[in-house]
Formats: sequence, structure tokens, C-alpha cells
Amino acid sequence: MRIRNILIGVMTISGTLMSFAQETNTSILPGHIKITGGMAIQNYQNLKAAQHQLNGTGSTFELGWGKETKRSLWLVTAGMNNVNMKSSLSEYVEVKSTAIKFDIDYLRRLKEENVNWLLGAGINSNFNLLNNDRLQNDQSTYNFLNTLMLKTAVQKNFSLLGRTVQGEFSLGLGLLALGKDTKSFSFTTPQSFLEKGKYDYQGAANDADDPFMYHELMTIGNYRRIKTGLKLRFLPKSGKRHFWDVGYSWDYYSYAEVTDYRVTSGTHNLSLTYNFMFNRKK
Amino acid sequence: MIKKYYTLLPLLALFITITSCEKLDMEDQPGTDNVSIFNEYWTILHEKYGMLEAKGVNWNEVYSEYAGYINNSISKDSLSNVLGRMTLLLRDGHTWLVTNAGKYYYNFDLQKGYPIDLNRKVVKKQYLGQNYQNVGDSMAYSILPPNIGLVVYRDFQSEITDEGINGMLTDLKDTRGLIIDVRGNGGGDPEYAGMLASHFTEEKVYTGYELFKTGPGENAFSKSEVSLRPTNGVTYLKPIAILTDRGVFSATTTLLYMTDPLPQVFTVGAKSGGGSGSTSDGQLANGWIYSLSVSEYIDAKERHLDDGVMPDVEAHLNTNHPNTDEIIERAIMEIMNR
Repeated sequence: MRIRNILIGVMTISGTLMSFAQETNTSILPGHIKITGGMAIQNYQNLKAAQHQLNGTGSTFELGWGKETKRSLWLVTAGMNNVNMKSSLSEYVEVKSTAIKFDIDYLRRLKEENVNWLLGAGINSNFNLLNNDRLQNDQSTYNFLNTLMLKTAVQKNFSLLGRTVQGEFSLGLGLLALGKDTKSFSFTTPQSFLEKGKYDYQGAANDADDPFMYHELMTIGNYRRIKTGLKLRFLPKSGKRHFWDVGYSWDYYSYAEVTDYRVTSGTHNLSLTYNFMFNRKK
Repeated sequence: MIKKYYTLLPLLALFITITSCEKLDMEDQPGTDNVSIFNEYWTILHEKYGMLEAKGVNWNEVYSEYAGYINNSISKDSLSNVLGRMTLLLRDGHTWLVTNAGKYYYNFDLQKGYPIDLNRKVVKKQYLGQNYQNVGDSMAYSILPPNIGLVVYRDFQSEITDEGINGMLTDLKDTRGLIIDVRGNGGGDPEYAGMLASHFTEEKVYTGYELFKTGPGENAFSKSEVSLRPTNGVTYLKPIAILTDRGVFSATTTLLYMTDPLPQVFTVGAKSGGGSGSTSDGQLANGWIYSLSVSEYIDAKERHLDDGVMPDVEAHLNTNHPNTDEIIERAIMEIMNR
């Protein structure tokens, strides 16, 4: 019994979605879950730490849940990327990147004709941990970005390989973010923490009781955040409760806590997703 | 066919365009030739090193002097040698450079020109004895015959806890005073220094301030005023002698400045090694690894600590008495007279 409870809890936390699948442009999909695996390609540069760029490939994994009504769409997604990045300039520069992400999106249908248009908002949390085994004091750093995003999507159905396929283009634009970066200009502690003159050795920044104490509010302009994706969804055949989609997405952020010393990351994901509709009437 | 998908084509074009623009926010790759590496290293120290003024080093003059040795035809060993000599100009044990995949290591020699004032075998055999207790992996204590507690703290690398310190100070609560031997303690985690010091006061005590480099400008510093906050656990307020030598460095300097304002604490031994700044490390474009001090600590007496400080009571080992530690003996005498 205890094990079952734990499993239910995990499903609730990491529920995510997926996207909205439709057999036709006017039909509604009930709630469904998905599981995604794929490949991630990441480019990264942190000018506070070094000028060289890092690039690498790794894996991506996501769990999701979604619910679609005639007027709106709820999407919840949780996932993780693991990428080993290297510098093209030296074999001795190597960084392991782990990103844990969580999204909640809500979109309203604006137009439902030949092409579906959707508009809404979302909250995205990204925890990015970087580890360089060759270093000592700066071996591990992280940033934690919580972003309010404007979201939009366009869907259109067409035939491909004898199947009804839904093509989807989605775009999210970061409006503002509450962010914390443990790498300041010169030291492994948040920039705001140093600038406020709070540092001593009886309670460093990361030990602060309030988890948002040393976050900074960043707005569009300084904080640049774009998430976008293309997806081809092979809609379920009649009577079937599962379907597949293939997709490509791009998650980009860039910010500068110190002028001219930007932190920039772009992650490209190629993914294959299995979707299961858990309450669809046969 | 094309007409069927005309709506999606502009979106596809937009998609391809924006997903290729992350590089627009990235600076160009730096060079890895000799001149580029020299400039990169010089710039990092110029912008981030926290004690150029305190050390009396004009970094622009260093550039003028050393840039003349650099061109793209010299060997990597020669480049390494020039950067290493620049590093040593800062006389800072926290500032070092590892080059050529670990072939060369440049770090200021703290001990050079100073006497050896620690013999660990003598401390263990003649003073700590057989019946000592451990606190974590790096701290041990016993009671010396005149009823003075002896605490030997070898490094701040291993974890210690408040509970461990509480237990030790409970065992030593009836002693006449404490000797804390941190000679040869090259540091580790400064939070352990703060944790230990917090057991020696019952009130908040101002201990000085740390100037952190917060940006590339020469005057881009923030000032963190630091006060020692008392523990909620066991405190020890009787005389405490902290033994120092040139090997006292980094986090052990943190212990010194945190306890210096406390009225019952005094230092005995030789000049300390300093290392007051917080450190940061990174890699140059060619993979060479550097570390540097990004701050400077100035204590409550407005002393710059990075080159070390003289003890309150100076004492040294006498090589004519190989089985005696004159510094411990002097500390015992000082405690007995207080």
C-alpha cells in the first residue's frame, strides 16, 4: 500500500504534458499523459567565468500531463537534460550540465477553423547545475530561473504516410524572471549577495532560510528567454488510446547580472513521445 | 501541395531563424595563441583580483613589462614561465597557475625565509599524549598537566560539528585555559573556523570587513562587515592561546580574525601565513587552470591580513631542544600568568 501511494505522488508531481492532440480540429482530447525521451544539444557561455563557449550532446527525459477542453488547454511538464559539454579550444575544458525543468502552461483557443490558434501564459522553472571536475572552489555552480512566459501555439492537421498528422508550432516568450545564479562576477555566491555586503563565514548565501532571498527580478530586455518547438503528432486511430509524436524544441535564455558579462544557453531537443489517453471513451 | 501548407511555411522559416540566434548573444571564441592567452590571463587578474592596491602591484606596469616577452613563436613552456612569474608577483598563496596539463605549478612559497616552528611528532608524543580524544578527522584534544586543555586542529578540510565542539568543551570545562594549536593548518572550509570561534563568545562581536570584487572596474568593490555570532551551544570564556606559525593560512586566518577581538584570546608563536581573501578558480581558453583572490579581509584593527600578522606573543622552536615545543611551553606560561 505504501508503495502505491508513492507512485501516485510521483505521478502527480511530475505530471506533464504534452501537447494537445486532436483527431479533428473540433474534437477534444481528454486528459492524457506522456513520456518523452530524446537527445539534447546544448551551447553555453558564461562570461563571468570564461569567454570560451561550451558545446555538447546528451539526453533528455520528460513526463507530462495535459487536459484539453473546447475553450482551453492545460499542460504540465517536468523533465531533465544531461549534457556533457566541452570547449572546442581545449580538451581540458569539460563541464557536465544537468537541467531540471518544470512547466505549467494555460492556453485559450482564439480561433478554431482550418488552423487552430492558441494564446496563453506559462510558468517555467529551470534549475541548471554545472560541474567542472578540474576546478576546486568553482567546481559546482548553478542558476535557478523562474520565468513568467507569454505562450502561443498554432496547429494544423494534414495527411502524411496515410495517417492524420497534427503539425504544431509553439512559441513562448519570457516576460520576467526571478533568478538566482551562484556564480557572481568573481566568486561562487550570488551577485546580489556580494553587492549587498552580506557575506561572512557563519552562513553563506546558499544556506539562507528563505529560498528566494537572493533571487533577482529580471525583466525582458536584460533577460531573454524563448522556448519554441515543432511537433508532428500522429493522431490516434479510431478506438486507439495511444499515439506518438516526434518533435524538436529549442530553449534559450540569456541574462547579465553584471553588464557585458552575459550567461547564455541554448538547448536543442530532438524527442520521441509516447502519449496515452487515460479516460478516452472507446 | 505547397498551397496546402502555405500557412505553416512562414512559421517554419521563423522557427529556423530564431533557433539559430543564441550565438548572437555569445561573445566570439577567444584565441589560444600565446598572445591571446597572455591577454586573457592578464585581463582576468586585472578585473577580478581583489588586492592589487593592497599588494602595491601596478598591473598595468606588469603588462608593459611582460608583454614584451610574448609572441606567437615562443614555446608553451616559455609562455607558462612568463605567466607564472606574473602570478608570483602577487605574493599570494591563494593565487596560483597550473599549466601544460599539470606540468608546471606556480604558487607563492609562504615558508621561504621563515623558520620552521612546528614539529608534529613532538606535539603528539610529548604533549597530546596517548589519551587524546578526536573531534572529527582533523581535531584532537587532551589535558596538559597544569590542567590546560590542548586542542590540535590540523586542517579545516574535514567536517566538524557544533555537537562535536560542545562535547569537547564540556570535557574541558574545568581546565584553567585552552591552547589551540593551528600551526601548519593550511585551511579548508572557513565556515568551520566561524563555527569554532562562535563557542568563545557570548555576544555578537565585530571582527572586520571583507572587500569583494563585484565588477571589472578598479574600484568595483562591495564591503561585507563581519561579526562573530555566538553559538547556542557550549561556550568557553577562560584564557585561550592560539598557536601560530607561517603555515597558518586561509581558513585558519579566518579563525584568527574572528577570535582576535575576543578579550580572553591571544596568539603565541610566529608570524602567520595570511591568505585572507576568498578565492575563485577557472580555466583559460587553452585549459590552463588558475586560482586567484577575489577579496581582501581587513580586521577590526584595520590590519591587512593577507601577508600574515605577527602574534601577540612571539616564540619559536629551539633546535637545541628537539623534544620540547617552546611555543606550547610559552603558551602554558602565559595562561598560568593570566
